[in-house]
Amino acid sequence: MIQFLPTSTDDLPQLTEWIALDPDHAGKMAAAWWMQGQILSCRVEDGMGPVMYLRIDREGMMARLHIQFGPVAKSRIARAFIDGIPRMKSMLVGSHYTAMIFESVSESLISFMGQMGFLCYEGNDYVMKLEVAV
Amino acid sequence: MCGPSQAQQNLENQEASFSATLQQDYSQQFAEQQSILNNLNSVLSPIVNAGPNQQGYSSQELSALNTQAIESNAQGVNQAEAAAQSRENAAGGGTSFLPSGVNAQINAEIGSAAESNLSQEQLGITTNNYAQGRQNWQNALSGELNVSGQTNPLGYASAGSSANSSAFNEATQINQESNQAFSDILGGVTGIGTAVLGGIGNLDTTGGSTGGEQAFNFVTGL
Repeated sequence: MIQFLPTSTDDLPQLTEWIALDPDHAGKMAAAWWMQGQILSCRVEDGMGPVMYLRIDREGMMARLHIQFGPVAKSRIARAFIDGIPRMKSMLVGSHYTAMIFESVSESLISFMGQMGFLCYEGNDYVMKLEVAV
Repeated sequence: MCGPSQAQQNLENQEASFSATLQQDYSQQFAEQQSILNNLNSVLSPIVNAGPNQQGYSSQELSALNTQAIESNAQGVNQAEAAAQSRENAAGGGTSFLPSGVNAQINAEIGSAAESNLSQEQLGITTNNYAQGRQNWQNALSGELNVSGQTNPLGYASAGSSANSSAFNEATQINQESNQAFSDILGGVTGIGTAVLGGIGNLDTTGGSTGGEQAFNFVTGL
C-alpha cells in the first residue's frame, strides 16, 4: 500500500536529480516548484521507497495533477496509480472537486490512465469526472 | 577577477526573498495539507490491496441475486406443491385419497429439495462473487503488468514550465560564477560539484540562521 507523505527541503536533492533525469522536465522547472501545490504537494512512497512526487493545483472546480516520476521499476509506478488514484478521487470528491485533470503526450500513460477512467478532454489534457458527494 | 555582476546578485537576492516567501506560504499550507494526506493515507485501496480473496459483487448486487434466488425457489416450491396436490386430486377423483401423513411427507420432500436447491444456488452466487473478485484483482494486476511492460517511467506527465525555472537557471549561473570567484581565491578548493549537488549542503544546521538566511543559503547552493 502506498503512502502519501509531506515534502520538505529534504526532498529537494532527490527532486533535482529526478527532474534532471526526466527529458520532459529537465531544465524547465526548479525542484522547489514541486512543493508549491495549491491543493497538495506530496511524495508517494511504496514499501521500497519514493516512487513519484505529486503537485495538485486548483483549476476552477477541477484538480490538476502534476507528476514527477522517479527512475524506479515501472511496475511500482503502475501499482502506485492503481492504489493511489481511487484514494485521490475519494479525497477530491470529499472536497467537492468535480474532476481530476492531467496533461500528457505519453501514449502509454494516456492508455493506462484511460483504463483508470480518464477521458480525452482537450489538447493534451485528460480528465476524470468525479461524482459529487450528496 | 570574475564573479557575478551586481545585477545578477540583485536578482539572486530577490530570488532569496521569493524563496523565503514560498517557504512561509508552504508552512501556512502545511497544516491543511497534512489533513489531506492523513485522509489519503486512511483510504484503503479497493482492489489491489484486497488481494485475490475479495468479493466481486457490490452489496446491492449480492442482495439482488440472493433475493432473486429465494423468490425463484419459493415460486418453485409453490408450483411443485400445487402439482403434487393436483396429481393427488386427479388420482382420487377430485378428493384426496392419501392419508394426511403421506401428503405432509410429500410436501416435506418438496420443501427439502427446494432448500437443497436454494443452498446450491446461494453457493453458486458466493462462488461467482469471489470469482468476480479474483477477476477484478487479476484485471488490476494485468493493467499493472501491461503498463510495466511497455511504458517509460520517465516523461509520463508534461507539467507546465514553472514560473521560476528561468530564475533557477540564472541562480545556478550566478553560483557557478561565485564558485569560480571563490576558486580563484582558494586555489580551486571550491568546485562546481558543490553547486551541482544543490543547496541543501549550504543550509545552516546549527540553528543560528533565520528563515531568510536559510533561504539565501539554499539558493546560493543551487
